[in-house]
Amino acid sequence: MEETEKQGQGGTRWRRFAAVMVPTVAAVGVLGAGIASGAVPVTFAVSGTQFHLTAKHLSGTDFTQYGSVVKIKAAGAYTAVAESTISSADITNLCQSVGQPLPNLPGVSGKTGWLKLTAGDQPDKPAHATGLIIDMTHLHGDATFTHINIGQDASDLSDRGQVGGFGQAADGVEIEGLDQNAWSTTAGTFTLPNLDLSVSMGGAGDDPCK
Amino acid sequence: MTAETTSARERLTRARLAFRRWRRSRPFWGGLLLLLSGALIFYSGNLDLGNLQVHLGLPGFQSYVIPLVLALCGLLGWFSPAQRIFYGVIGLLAAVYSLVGANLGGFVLGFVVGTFGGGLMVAWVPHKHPSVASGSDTTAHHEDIPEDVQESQGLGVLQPEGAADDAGQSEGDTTQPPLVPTQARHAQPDDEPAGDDEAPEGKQGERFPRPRHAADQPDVAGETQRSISTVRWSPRTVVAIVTAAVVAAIGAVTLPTAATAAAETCASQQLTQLLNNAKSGKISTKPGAENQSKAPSKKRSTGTTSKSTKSGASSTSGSAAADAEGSAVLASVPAYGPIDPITGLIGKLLGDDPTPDPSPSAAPSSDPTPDPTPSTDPTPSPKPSGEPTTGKPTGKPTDEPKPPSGPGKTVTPSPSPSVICSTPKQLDAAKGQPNVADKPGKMTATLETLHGLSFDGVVDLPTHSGTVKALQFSMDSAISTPFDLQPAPKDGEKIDIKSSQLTVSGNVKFYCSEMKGNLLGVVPVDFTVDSPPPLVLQELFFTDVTFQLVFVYADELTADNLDISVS
Repeated sequence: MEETEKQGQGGTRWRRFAAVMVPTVAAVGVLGAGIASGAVPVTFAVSGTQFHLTAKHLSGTDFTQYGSVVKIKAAGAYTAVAESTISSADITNLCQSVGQPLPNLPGVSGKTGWLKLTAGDQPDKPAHATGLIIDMTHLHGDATFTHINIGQDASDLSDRGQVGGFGQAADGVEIEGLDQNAWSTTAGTFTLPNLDLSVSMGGAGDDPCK
Repeated sequence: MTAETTSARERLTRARLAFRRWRRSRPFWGGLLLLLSGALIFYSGNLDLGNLQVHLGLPGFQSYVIPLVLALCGLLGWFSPAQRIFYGVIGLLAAVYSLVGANLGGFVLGFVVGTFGGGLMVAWVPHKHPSVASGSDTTAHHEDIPEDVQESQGLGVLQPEGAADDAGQSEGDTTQPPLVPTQARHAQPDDEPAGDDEAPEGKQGERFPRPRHAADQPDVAGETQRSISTVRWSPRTVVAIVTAAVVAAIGAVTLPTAATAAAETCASQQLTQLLNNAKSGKISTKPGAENQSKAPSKKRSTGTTSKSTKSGASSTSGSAAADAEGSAVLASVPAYGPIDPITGLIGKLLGDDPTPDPSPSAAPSSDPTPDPTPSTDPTPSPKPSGEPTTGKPTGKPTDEPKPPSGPGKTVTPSPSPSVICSTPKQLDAAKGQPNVADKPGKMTATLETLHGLSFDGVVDLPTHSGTVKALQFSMDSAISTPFDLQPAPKDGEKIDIKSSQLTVSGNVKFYCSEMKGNLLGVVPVDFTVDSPPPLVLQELFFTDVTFQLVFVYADELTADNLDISVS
């Protein structure tokens, strides 16, 4: 019976697997090197949990910020966000972290898994983002804006702004010591020189981006 | 009891056996890994699945499409194993593309899993004997399997497979160019073993008895082996071409940038203004009527007079002139109605009379008229051409010299600003003034220091639904220590913008509907649109000040310890 069964079915040809994987790995190696050196931009769209972003310096153009439609439903209640968009930004010492409570398994229960992404730690090679849309709950830093409008109609700033909403817009923005918490980040492209991605485990307060 | 348990156990074993058979008759692990990688990448973009938030824009779109493609490749590879190479390669490419297209491939994990899944799916090969993941293989084992299991198998395997086969068929047809014969697809499972000739089981004979495919293509045999092996790679090349096209298409989609249509309300306003000015006879009616409702200010009143002047000049004859002048008179009434410190000043400038409402406006109308039919105007108290308004000016001939001096100063500037993007009002909104929010924000500061300050007047700033009145200040710079701004919540969201010290500088325009605080630290003041500040000094400071902030423009704004929080 075992014999007949086997004959009617199939299995993996590892030679073929290798034949497929070798070029793939080579291509990924090139791609990965491009990403890690900042030559190849990547796309981000993250939402659903609070994550933390810090940077030594952010220098951006076409900044807007406005109160956004309350759209995140957390524990039955809606959470408000301040939506901020920057069409192009150079970011030095970017550090982004996400903490996820680990499942209730022996050894890891009660702990938090942290994912940390850093890039652009050389001043002459900052990380670069375009089409950045951040739904934030908190932002801190020393900021300088150029050609700023305060009180502009939010719907004129973005499709996602509300008609009659109170918004800010500036041609340029510089933020020193940026520290922000956000619910979602969407970036059209992100170039991440000296990309470093690491995972760690710790308590809920052990944020790797301090 | 025991019989029941044994039968249950038997059933379980049979089910397990059936599942194993199902699993082994298709690229199960490859498909599973592809499904898993799709889930991982999706999860990386939606970290809390309970709180799904829709991603917008192209990056958001990709964060759905890539996981979907991966999951579909996994499922279709299961249910249509004949197309496994196609699905495997697409899955592989999608996994690799996810590295740049979706959160670094679900923070690398989804990418790794997907790559292995795609590789495994491509590498899966059916064993030589009879059939490949088709109905025939289940029938082959009918003898071993009890009825119920057969049935469940039939339902579980045959049915979806039939459906998937159809899908696969059509897909295969569309993806394969006409050059490639349909047999290539069918021959595929057949030629896999051929490729494995070096493998230990070199039983050539077993290749031929293939009930299903052999029936389809009886000629797939030894002598056609060669032609097949030349054809052999063509599905793959086709797959490669198709996937390259898919990737290129994705790349092409990535390029376009979202077009932002900036609504230029200015242009239309300018146009209407110009049109109105062209037919000045009519225009005077409109601004006059509008001005009635507005609080007075210097520019505004001069604007009115200048308009009426114009209308007077143009209305050389008859009824049109009567209309125009009538409205001009109307307009002038409210202009002198409310007496504020400022308006009082203006009134004096314009020749302040007790309350001789019409005189100033009527006077200008008679003044410029000299050209057409003028001389009759001033002297004869009865109307020269049936105009009711001209009767009034004669009542106060003494005032005549003064009013002209008022308009004389401002007649020249006022028409030109009115052409510039603005709605007619006391103070024209600056050129290019964007729409402002419906409701002001509440701005507070313990100490507000203003440099190079001037109060320009009351202005109507455009909003999306109309206008909002505000006091307009110009200044060189302003320092708020500490600064706090709470925009009016639009949808329940409360945003609090703070700064330990906020400085605005360079061509600062500051608009607020109310300004309340202690002037110079001692004098409590409350300026509103209805009671604007009578005079301001160049250098001023307020303590514990609260503004209803409508709009601010500044060349530069620096905020130390800027802190934006949402609750």
